[in-house]
Amino acid sequence: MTNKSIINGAVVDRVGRRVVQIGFLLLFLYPFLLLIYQQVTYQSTPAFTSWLLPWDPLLHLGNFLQGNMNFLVIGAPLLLLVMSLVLGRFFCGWVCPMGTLLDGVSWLAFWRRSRDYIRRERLRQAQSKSSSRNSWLRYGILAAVTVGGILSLRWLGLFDPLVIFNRVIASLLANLFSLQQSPYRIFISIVSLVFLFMVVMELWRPRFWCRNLCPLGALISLVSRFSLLNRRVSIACTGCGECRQVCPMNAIPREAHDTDYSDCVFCLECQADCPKGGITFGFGLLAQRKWKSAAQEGMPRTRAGKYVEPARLSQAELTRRDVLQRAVKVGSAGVLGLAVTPLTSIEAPRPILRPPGALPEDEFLRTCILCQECVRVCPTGGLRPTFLQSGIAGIGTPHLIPRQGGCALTPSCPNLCAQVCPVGALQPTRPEELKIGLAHVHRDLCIAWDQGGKCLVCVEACLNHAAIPYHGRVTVDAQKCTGCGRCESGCPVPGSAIRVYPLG
Amino acid sequence: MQQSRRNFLIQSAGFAAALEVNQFSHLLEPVTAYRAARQQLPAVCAAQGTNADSMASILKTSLDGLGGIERFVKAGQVVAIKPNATWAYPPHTASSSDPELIEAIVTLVREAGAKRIIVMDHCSIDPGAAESLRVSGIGKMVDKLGVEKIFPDRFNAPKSVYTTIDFPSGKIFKKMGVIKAAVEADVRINLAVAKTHNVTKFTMALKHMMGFLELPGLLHTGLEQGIGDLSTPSAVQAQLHILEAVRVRLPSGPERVCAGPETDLTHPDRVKRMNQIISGVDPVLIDAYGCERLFNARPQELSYVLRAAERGIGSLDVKKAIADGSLLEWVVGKTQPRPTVTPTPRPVEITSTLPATKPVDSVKKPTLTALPTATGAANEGRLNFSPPQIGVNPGAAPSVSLPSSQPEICPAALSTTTQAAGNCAGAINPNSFLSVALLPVAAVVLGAGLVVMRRLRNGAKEQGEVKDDQ
Repeated sequence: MTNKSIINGAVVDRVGRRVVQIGFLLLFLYPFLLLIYQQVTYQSTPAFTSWLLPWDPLLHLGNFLQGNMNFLVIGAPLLLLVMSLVLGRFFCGWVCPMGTLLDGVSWLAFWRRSRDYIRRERLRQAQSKSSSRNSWLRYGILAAVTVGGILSLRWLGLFDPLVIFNRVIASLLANLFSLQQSPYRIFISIVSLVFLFMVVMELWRPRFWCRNLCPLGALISLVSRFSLLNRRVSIACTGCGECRQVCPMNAIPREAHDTDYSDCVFCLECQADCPKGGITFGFGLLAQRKWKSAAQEGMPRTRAGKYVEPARLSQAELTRRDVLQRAVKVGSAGVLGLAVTPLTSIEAPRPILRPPGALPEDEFLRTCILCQECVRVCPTGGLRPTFLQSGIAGIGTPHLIPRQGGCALTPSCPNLCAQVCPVGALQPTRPEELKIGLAHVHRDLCIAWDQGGKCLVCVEACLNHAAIPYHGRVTVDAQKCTGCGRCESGCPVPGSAIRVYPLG
Repeated sequence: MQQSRRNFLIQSAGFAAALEVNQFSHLLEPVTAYRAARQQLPAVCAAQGTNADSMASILKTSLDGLGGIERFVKAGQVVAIKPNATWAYPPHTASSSDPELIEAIVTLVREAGAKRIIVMDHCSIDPGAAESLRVSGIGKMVDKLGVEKIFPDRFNAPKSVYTTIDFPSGKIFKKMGVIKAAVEADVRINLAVAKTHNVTKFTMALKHMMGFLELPGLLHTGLEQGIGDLSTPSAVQAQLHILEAVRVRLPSGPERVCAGPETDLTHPDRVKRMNQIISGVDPVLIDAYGCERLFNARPQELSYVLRAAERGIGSLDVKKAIADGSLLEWVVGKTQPRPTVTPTPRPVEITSTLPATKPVDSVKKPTLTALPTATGAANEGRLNFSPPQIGVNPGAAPSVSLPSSQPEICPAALSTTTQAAGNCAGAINPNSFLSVALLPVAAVVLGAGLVVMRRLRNGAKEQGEVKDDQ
């Protein structure tokens, strides 16, 4: 940092914003930190619901389309949208944990700091014809996941950045402490390829995902273009283009006085880096109109500067042809979303042990967004994401692996998985209603059956008196067996001689 | 024989010398104590107390009969204590070791000068170690005592917790994975609980050694001999076995469970208060004694005890052991060992209170006597709960409202054992951990404050400039 940047406060701005970002990141990681604490110290900790997903307006839009009305009670996503009306896309620049992660990744791209790179980048910007390079694809993705969300929330879960964040962190942590499944398999099975793509693109261009692809960002920018918070460029501006160069969101068009509020995340980088100190941020009632009129009335130029015009909405640029084109693009994206959904169910779903209270299989597959919340809170660690066990449509959905840990719903778990499920794919279940599978004794493997040994660990493990000793052998009472899988998790035979199979 | 003067003088001089030596006899004491420990100290001592006696005093009596804790623990040694922390049921249910007893043994070991004390066990898979320790109160007690603890979560614990050792005299298992810290300790104390078991009928000192294993379930592939293998000379052989029979879980008809929510107050026919602690170096003799006196069964009925005795791990003959003094039966408060095999009324009493014989009579007794620690009316009615009627004869089991004699157990801990909590708000349960989240909140406020302050200051400056311009 030069002396100048200290004087004009660039350091304060940068440090302040980073501190806020890291604070929010840690806040959203907090429910995960408890998981680590519990695994390391064996102390009992409470299980928290996600602190992140309730704020997700896109997720609750999907819930609304599915007829799930929780969001009316929670209200947090609506609050976020209302705040975006005042503060613009502040969420993306200051709060979003995925944005923070991507900023961290961006810092790793050391070559972007080289003088050579900056020079080439300036040249490229000067030569570029269009006023902005940000893609309309994100509105297409938004339309696709929303319209597709009527049929299946899966698409929404795949592309919503907050869900991706939750999924990646949860599965990495859950995997850290149980080494029964290969990490690669988990990584593929939770469809983290989107996350990998985000990271790679971030190394190429800053905030590539947020600018061009993020459906949540697109939803917020629908509101944020009317933001009250705005950027003002004073008459001191010489048009040097420094602000365009530093803007990670590419929110400043060729005319450096303009700001695209559907992109600007108020990261304050331009203000800090302006060599003339001519950029400020402030509130004004419906920014564009006020500043426009103020300029017309001949306000002092030192304060008003040129008025601010969101490039995308300027009437001069938008012809009817443009509007039609974009409508067709977004509409076709929506149709695409509708069309792709049935493709995943080409293969009939295979029965698999689902967590207690899961919706019927096809409905479950349409509702689950793969956020891995249930995997995170499962006290026995028995819930794991599937790979291909239940077909292509089921990749990443939770299933119970009793060998890892049975379902503890009956005595010790207050149905945590259903409590944390943000989309209602797992419904609350009473312990006496629990019935997820049926245990079966493999008599050729069982010590008691095959060798006449005194084992009966399964009888010891069963809390429902469903595994019954019968002349030193074990039998299963199909009526009493709930399929919780305690017997399977305790069986001393390698691979277990008593196994739980899904019903039907 | 003629007594000459010379002989008299020599004898009296020798007598005086002997008296003189006798004054300094304390110098010879370590040698004699050592010799006694080698030859004469008993193998097992069973201490009988009453409801009024604390666990510490019963334990002290029992260990005194063996020659004190100093016989086993020398100053500067590392001691591994293995209580039964398996089950997620509160104390007084004869499911896991009583925290009070853990406190007593740790205090004794600490007084003996142990350098490090490590408490270790495997908890049941289902609620996991953390939950089991919380409910059984053992976690809290261990934390309070400030000793080291190793309670690995089965299957999820890191491999570094375990090590594989040889059992040279093992019949079924020659090599097994065990908790590493147990191998590294100088002295291992096996703190078992006497109760029924659905596979082996009863479980006492011998079987309790299974908690040291990495995969206890694996032993079930050859249980009868495998249990004996654990007590053969090896790196995890316990130097001292202590069998807690203060509250004993009895069989109820054909049903034999290792744990449950019943207490001696609510289900006197299932959990009986016997106030005994049997400690010793011979686990087979302890188990045999326990069979005869606690469960009124023949030791030969327990196949694993029989196999262990056949292999020479210990003695099965209780009568002979009492006769030759290797098994003492002491009563708390009396220091004199009972010399001969006098039939005590105690076993008779036990037989008369076997399940389903007189369940109604036995209800009254404990309510009068078994509340030494209930602390007045303030606690009464705080924890009124009626446990589920598990068992073959639910009608005979009366539901008794239980005044709290364990004020440190929270009601939530009890509720997990009695009834599933259902959909209580367990997922959003703020507690002290929440205060940690204040750090990131502070970061957010600090960062936002920095930026906003700068905005405000710049705004003021700008205003001033504008005024100057005008």
